[in-house]
Amino acid sequence: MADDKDVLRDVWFGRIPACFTLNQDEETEREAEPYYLLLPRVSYLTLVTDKVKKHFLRVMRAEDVGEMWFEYEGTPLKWHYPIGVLFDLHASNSILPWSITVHFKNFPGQDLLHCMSSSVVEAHFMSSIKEADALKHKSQVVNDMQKKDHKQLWMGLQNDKFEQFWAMNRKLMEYPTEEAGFRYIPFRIYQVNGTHTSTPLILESSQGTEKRYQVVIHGIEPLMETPLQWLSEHLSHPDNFLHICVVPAPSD
Amino acid sequence: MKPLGGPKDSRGGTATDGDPWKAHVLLQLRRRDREQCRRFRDLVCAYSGLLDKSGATDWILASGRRGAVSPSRAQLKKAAGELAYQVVERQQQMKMQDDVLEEQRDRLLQDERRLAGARDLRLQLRLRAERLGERNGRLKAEYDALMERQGRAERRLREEKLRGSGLLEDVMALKRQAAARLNQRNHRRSRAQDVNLQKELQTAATSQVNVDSSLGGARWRCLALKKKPAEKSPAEIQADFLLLPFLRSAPASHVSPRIPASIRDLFERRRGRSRPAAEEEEPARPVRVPAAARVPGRALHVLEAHEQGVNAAAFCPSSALLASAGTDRVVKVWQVRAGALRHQTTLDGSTEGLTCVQFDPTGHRILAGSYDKSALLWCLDRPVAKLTLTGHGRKVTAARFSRHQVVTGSADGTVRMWDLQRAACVHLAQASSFCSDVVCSENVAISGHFDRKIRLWDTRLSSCVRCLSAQGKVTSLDLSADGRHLLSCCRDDGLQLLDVRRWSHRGAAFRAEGFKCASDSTKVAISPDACFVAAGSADGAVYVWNVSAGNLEARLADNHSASVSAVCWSSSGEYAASVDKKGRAVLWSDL
Amino acid sequence: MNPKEVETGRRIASSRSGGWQPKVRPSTKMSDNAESPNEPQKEELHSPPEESMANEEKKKIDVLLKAVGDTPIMKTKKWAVDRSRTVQSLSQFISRFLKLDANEQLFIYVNQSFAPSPDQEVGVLFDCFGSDSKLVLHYCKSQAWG
Repeated sequence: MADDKDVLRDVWFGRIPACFTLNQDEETEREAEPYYLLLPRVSYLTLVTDKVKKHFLRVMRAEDVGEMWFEYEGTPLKWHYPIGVLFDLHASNSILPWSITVHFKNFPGQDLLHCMSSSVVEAHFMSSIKEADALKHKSQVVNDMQKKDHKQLWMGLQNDKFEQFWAMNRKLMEYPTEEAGFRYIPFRIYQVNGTHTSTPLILESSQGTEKRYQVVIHGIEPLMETPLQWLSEHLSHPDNFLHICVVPAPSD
Repeated sequence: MKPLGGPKDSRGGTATDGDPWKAHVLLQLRRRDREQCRRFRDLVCAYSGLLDKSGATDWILASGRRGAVSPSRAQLKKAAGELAYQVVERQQQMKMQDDVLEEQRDRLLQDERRLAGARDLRLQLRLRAERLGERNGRLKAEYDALMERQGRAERRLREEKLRGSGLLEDVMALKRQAAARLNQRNHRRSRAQDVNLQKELQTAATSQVNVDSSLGGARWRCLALKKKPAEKSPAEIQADFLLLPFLRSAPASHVSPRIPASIRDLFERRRGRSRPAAEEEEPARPVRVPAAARVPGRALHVLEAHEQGVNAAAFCPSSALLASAGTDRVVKVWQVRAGALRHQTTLDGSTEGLTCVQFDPTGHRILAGSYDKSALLWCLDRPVAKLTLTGHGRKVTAARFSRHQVVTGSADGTVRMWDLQRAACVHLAQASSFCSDVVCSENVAISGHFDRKIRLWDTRLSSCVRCLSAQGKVTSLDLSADGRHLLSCCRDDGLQLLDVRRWSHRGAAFRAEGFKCASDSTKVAISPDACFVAAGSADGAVYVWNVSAGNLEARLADNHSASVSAVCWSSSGEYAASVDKKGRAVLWSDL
Repeated sequence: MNPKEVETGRRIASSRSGGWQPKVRPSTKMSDNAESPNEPQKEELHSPPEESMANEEKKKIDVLLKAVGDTPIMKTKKWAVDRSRTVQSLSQFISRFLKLDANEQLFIYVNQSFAPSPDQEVGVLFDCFGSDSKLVLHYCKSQAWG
């Protein structure tokens, strides 16, 4: 099972290089340098961008600063999606590092959720875990956990502590031996709402000819024969959901 | 969406490490990290470091501005220079790190090669281990087989030991039984003798027989003379040293030469009883009448006489009894009645096998030589030896009555004369050669030796009177009834007749095709009338030659299965007997 | 260019149905219905045109709203809701319906256990957690679970 542990580690420690630049419309005292950061794929934007915020606030007047939000090529980035999902969905075929524009005004309330503190992220994260467990075990496992166990999951993610997180998360990935797997596999599928409106059914039929779509999880394309249960156990995000991105294949 | 439709029962936990999809996932994740993360890690770190530094510079600049001190151009330049220098430094560092990276790649390559080598080595070692394992297995199998065999052998050893001890016990038990039987038999015999004695005493006491009244000696002699064939005149006989015996007591009025043994026994006994010193007197001797011998042609009776080989046989003077002596240490006495042999008595006492046997002229006593270096004397009515003559250094090969004495020959090369009254050796003659046989006449003894000599001894002087060469080792001698012809048998498979008076060989040796002298003690016989000689051969046949014609008269085969050790002729000439090495005795006659 | 999210807990066969279609609906229509709380038992948050009734019926699900703790209850508990309506719009509707203050928060819970993401569509929740052909949601002014 060393391989499985390696997979968990690689998933956890996946990083994306990002270049944060301040939106040109922002009023600054002087020109802001871009800020480079390696973003953990499994974490959330608002959880790991404290330094970015600090960096840019140095060149801004306090009265000009609103709630910070991010945008990539005109698309506001939803903080409540895992960073890896955002990248795979919008920027998987662009040149690295991923250049993200930082905004401090004109918060797009209709597109993004507000996030005033990390406790909002925590609430979202824990809700996701509970939702997933509702699907996997009728919420039995997560309800049997104590408050500190929930805290351990959250602290594991917040502080990037792999062992701490998995010591608890392991329980969520168990299932009764008399059953083949979870009751239901929790997953979310994302698709860029762009020019393509065709259903994913085309994916299967188009394999022989030209590959028009990629099915991406954590930045990779698993083989079609990979068992779903194993995927759920090993390639799920910390929120216990399998986040699957369907993106157009690179044209070249 | 095929990945989602994958086999639902295939669980990650149970999938083997070799699953291609798993390997694929791992490989992809690694490649992703390589492309997206590692390439930028150092860069991002370096940039952050630079940013911090520049932030510090900004702060210095800002604080300078705050302190209303306009930064001098030189200072700025200096800072820029420093920064540029830092950039150069960074670039150098990057280069160095690239070098290090290259070096590490090389090392990695080398390690991989070493790994491949090690894998090969491991494979070889594993193969060797397998071979060794196989060999071990084979050795183990062999070892097990050997152990099993050893176990079986040990079991057999134990069984054999048990059986051995069992057999030993059986033998002991049998020995004890045999001893008990012997004791019982002796006891019975002595009791039976006592009873017989008493009976006879009673009958003797009651019957007043007028035995002494009739004396028919002269008449008997006339009869005897009359019976003699014409070829030998009575005068001739008288001239010989074999004189007609003077009868001390003549057998009643009866004219038959064959006195019923019982009557004579009774008579003897009465006399013995009435006169305690009977033994001292000269024993009664029936006259030797050379009866016309018949050529044996038919086996009247064949019987297994002894348990082991029979070495000698002899008829009693009356021809009514046959004695046989064997390796089984006993002398058996048989009644010759109606052409058959019936066991009468067994005489034991010797500790070794017997070599020869002879009746005394009265037919009451039996003399035998033994391997136990002694000669034994029995009276027929007592199964226990009366006398044992000891003194020879080796086995006694011949023992003959000679008047009141006994002459013995031995393998120690001596001939001894014994006094029966004193049971002591009276004369000793040194021949210095293995003595195989002795015969006795009136005053002489003739002995045959292995040095191919036949020696004539004067029994009184106990000196060698004459000596004659034979053709080979002498195995036995026999004297005709008239004492004139001596038959000798030699190991050269020939029988020769000797004229005793002239002390010279008579004619050529008797030989025959197929006749082979079987041993150093083969005993041959001459018929009482000296017309025939008989000898047993190694092939189990008895050969009979005609003396006057010198040709083979008969060859009697098919009754012996072993080599014939001795042949004897009854004094009546009616019967001949032969015994062999397997204990069988055959009684022969002409019809 | 908005990313569209489809969520489902069903194994994929059931989740394929229609979830992939882009559905952009103006959320402002909710406020229309918020003005009429005293409608018949089964309210329609969004009145469809008569002619497309059959088509629209498929896109509506029954939602049962239950109050938790000291949160005011709604007289009308059962609502027919557009499948594509988000949790956020539903929450806004309830807030307005209950005439809550703007600074008062409202939490919505599924299965009395977790709070769904505000941009989640109720149709998907219904597919995953609905029972007896209706989705039971609890609402509360303070955090009730987790």
